[in-house]
Amino acid sequence: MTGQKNFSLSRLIGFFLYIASASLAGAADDADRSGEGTEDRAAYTDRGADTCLKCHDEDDSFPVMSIFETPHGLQADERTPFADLQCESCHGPGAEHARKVRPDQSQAPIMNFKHDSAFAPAVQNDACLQCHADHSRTGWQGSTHEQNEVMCSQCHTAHVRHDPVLQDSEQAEICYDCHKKERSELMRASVHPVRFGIMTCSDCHDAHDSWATALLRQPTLNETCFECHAEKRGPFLWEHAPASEDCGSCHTPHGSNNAPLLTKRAPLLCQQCHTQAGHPSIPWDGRGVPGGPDPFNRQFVLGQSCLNCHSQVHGSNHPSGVKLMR
Amino acid sequence: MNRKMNQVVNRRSTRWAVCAAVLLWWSVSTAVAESEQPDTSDWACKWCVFNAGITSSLDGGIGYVSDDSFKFGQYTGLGNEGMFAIVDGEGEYRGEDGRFWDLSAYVLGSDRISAEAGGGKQGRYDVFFSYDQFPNLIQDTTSTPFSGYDILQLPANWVRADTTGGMTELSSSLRPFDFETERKRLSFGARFLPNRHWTTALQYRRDEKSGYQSIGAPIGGSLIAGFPFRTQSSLIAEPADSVTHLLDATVSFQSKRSHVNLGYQGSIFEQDVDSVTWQNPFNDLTGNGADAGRRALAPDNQFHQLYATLGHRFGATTRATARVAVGRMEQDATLLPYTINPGLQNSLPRDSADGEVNTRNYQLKISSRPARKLSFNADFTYNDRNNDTPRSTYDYVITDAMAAPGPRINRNYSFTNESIDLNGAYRISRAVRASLGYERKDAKRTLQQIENTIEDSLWGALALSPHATLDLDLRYARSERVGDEFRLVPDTDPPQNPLIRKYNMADRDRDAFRGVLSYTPGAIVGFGLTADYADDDYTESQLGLTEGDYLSVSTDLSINASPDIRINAYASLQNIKSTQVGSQTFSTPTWSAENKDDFETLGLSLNYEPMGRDISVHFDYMYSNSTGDVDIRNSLDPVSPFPENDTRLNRAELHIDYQMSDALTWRFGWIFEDYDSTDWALDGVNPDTIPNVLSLGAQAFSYSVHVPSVSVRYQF
Repeated sequence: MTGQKNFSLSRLIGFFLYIASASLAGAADDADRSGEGTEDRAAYTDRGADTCLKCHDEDDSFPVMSIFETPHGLQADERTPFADLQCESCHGPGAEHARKVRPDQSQAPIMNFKHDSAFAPAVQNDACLQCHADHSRTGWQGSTHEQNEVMCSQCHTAHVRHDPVLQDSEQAEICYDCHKKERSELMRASVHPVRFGIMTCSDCHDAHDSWATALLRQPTLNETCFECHAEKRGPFLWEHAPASEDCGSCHTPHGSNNAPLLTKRAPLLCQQCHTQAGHPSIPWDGRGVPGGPDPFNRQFVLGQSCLNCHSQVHGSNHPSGVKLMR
Repeated sequence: MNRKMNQVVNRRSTRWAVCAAVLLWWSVSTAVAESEQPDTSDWACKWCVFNAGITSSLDGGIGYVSDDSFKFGQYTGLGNEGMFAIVDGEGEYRGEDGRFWDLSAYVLGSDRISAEAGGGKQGRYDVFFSYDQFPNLIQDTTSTPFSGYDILQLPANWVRADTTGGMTELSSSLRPFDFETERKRLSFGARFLPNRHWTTALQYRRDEKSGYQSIGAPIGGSLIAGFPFRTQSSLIAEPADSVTHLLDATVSFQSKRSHVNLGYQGSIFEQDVDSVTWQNPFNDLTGNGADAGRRALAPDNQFHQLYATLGHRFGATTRATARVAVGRMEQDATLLPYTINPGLQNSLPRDSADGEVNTRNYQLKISSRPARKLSFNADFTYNDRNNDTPRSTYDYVITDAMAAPGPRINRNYSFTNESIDLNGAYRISRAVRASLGYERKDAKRTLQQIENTIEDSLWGALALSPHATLDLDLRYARSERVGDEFRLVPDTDPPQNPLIRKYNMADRDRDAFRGVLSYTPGAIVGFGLTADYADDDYTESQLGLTEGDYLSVSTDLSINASPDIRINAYASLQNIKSTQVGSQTFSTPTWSAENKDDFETLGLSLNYEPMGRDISVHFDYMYSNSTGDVDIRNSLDPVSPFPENDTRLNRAELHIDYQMSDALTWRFGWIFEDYDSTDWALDGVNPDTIPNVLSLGAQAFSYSVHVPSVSVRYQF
């Protein structure tokens, strides 16, 4: 058995090393993944940003001066583009792009960060990641957004004083560009207060990478919820197993018809699991609503339904809380 | 395996690893060299206009809310008719040396306050401070005969009765009681960057919650001729006063290829009171002296976690990330007695639950683009919640009124989830990209009906760009979850029906489809269509949830009618449907219920911002309509259907900005919101409507509110 373990471990290590080797070897013939020629673009301009700003002033169709109102446009910080190769730190060597052309010719392309850019999303993103592959972006490669070829520039705007996606009041609208289902969910009767500017998408989600499904900030859904709902963390003496395992067993995160953010209203929500003889297994119906013929069934459908009595659905720390009533 | 075989295998595997290591060394040594830096001695940046100095602005104004509505003001605090003030200011300083500070404040009425301050030297250090206060207005149609904070008492002249209908002093004892909570969130933090490789950061947040929430508080029960035993209960106001402290401290190292992050997270929750006690408004029909009840509030608890992240880039195209987090949740709040009923006292087996849950989270992810058109990812995740809370036997008391039929041992549920995710993508041509993925989720649970489930998922996706103006993404996924042997959990009293399969661990087949169409024929018009469909089939469930369907279709239209006018519109339809089955006879199925929720959403946004003009106009319209329907079918008894629940929201918002001068801008605003909802669980339910539950009288919301406002902004 020891030999088998060693064998497997070595194979595993070797496999990953091989992948790394193959990747590196592949990189040699993959220097330009944009499909553009490399020779001319490899040349930088003679005068850096001054070359660019001769054309790209405020009267140009691509004005860029607002970059100096952003953290990127500060030379005193050695980490910024303007402390390094200025515009060409991000846009790459620009001599060919800056070359004069005849009126019937187009400028040679330079790296730009638009949806219809000639440069592949990965190439565009690499320009950002050369500096930003830090803590929160270390797992960007292979993340859900990266796999779907989302570009940094789809969410971030570099040439404005305040990047909208970093503003609490504007962030959600940018996420809604793709996440249309969530936009509708957040307009329901019972919601997390995103459309009121109280919460942002990034309070729960990390757009760059995550341990958990749905790009959650914490390793599990429950740990994410407990950041604001710590009273539901326990550990309780009497736990309600689905609540301890997964808040999503009963709640939906963005919006619901059934307050508070429930996937379904009680008693039917509870009756999906609770089938004991007696009141949990009876099909309570409209006879219990006001004016209905069955007033003594009202406790199961009106008010807080099952929670009229079993109100400690997240767990109880009372020694008599077995049935989650204390 | 004998020793000789071991030696052979070890030699082979060692050679294999050595070969791979040599390849790695070769790859690293021949990896793309750092590109040579150009000569930048002439890069004077003389046309660069570096930002420096102070900019600030201050908004001040007033508004008016035309009608009372808690729902309208739920998160803004504007729940009552009347005037309110608006203050919105910001200021910032930017120095050419990188020093900066920022200030901002926003005040809306008296309940919504937000303020931030920060400063530092970019790339060296920075600090921030923020304060956020916001309400959650829950219900204002409510009333209760109880008074007090954590000890709720009835009026001295209260007349107890078997049912709410017999409480003769109820109507005269009711006093209006608004349910609302408020959060005050204070945060501060600092970051220090000694050089471009190292970052240290510390953040603290104090989250204070206050107010009341409504909860069910049962005591005893009623034995009324013709009806089975019914627990008697009251909906009461429970204090929700608590403070949560959150601390996050990290140290990070970053180089061209590697990144290391070490950190600590702490969360400490402190409840103001440990319990709430209330008088029993009902006659004690048990005869055991159940004159009052007491329930526990959530206990003070703590969570501490150490975490580490290691990321490394191999060559230009491969990255590996490893993450580890080890944490502990714990609480040792003193247990309350079994009951405050002096006639039913038992001795506790321990003073505290000594709740302790240890968490471990691991992740290893490798992602590579070995060739221009090919990428793949491998991801292994392990999450473990190990509940080490000691198990004891409790001779509990039912609702402060009755001795339990037998003792119970607490269950310390533990969960382990492992997943392996493998996927890859290949760009077949510029117009076609194909992806394929496989995922396995292995979930293990203790003390539950099914202790192990394995879910396998296979998905495929195509991203098509047949034309520069057209993108089409299609994705289909098939998942199959299978559990091991079902068994009834022992010591469950009364027992579960053996035919139940709880939906979170039941065998399930899931088909999911997603399609996204994007058409952008030019700079003027853009159109999008997104559809999601999921179908769940719980294949082995005779009782419980058996089917679930989800459909969502959304469409977007954006029009840049002119350089000055932008129009965006969207519409969506969503449908959620599920079927569940029950047994009234504790045997085979006798009834089923179909839940159906339908949603329609519309939105329109118009922005008119003419260049060189003094005026701009922003208009937003939002419509959301939903219906909830429950259809119950019972093979044993005739069924009376539930009414349909409806919610309809119309909201229009208009803002006109008029710039009087470079410094002065007037803003005129108008919000109209119309909301109409029905809820059969609330509508017409007065405090005495439910014979054995003393209720609060909460009603579904309906309102129409106009909010005109005017403010002026001065740009300093």
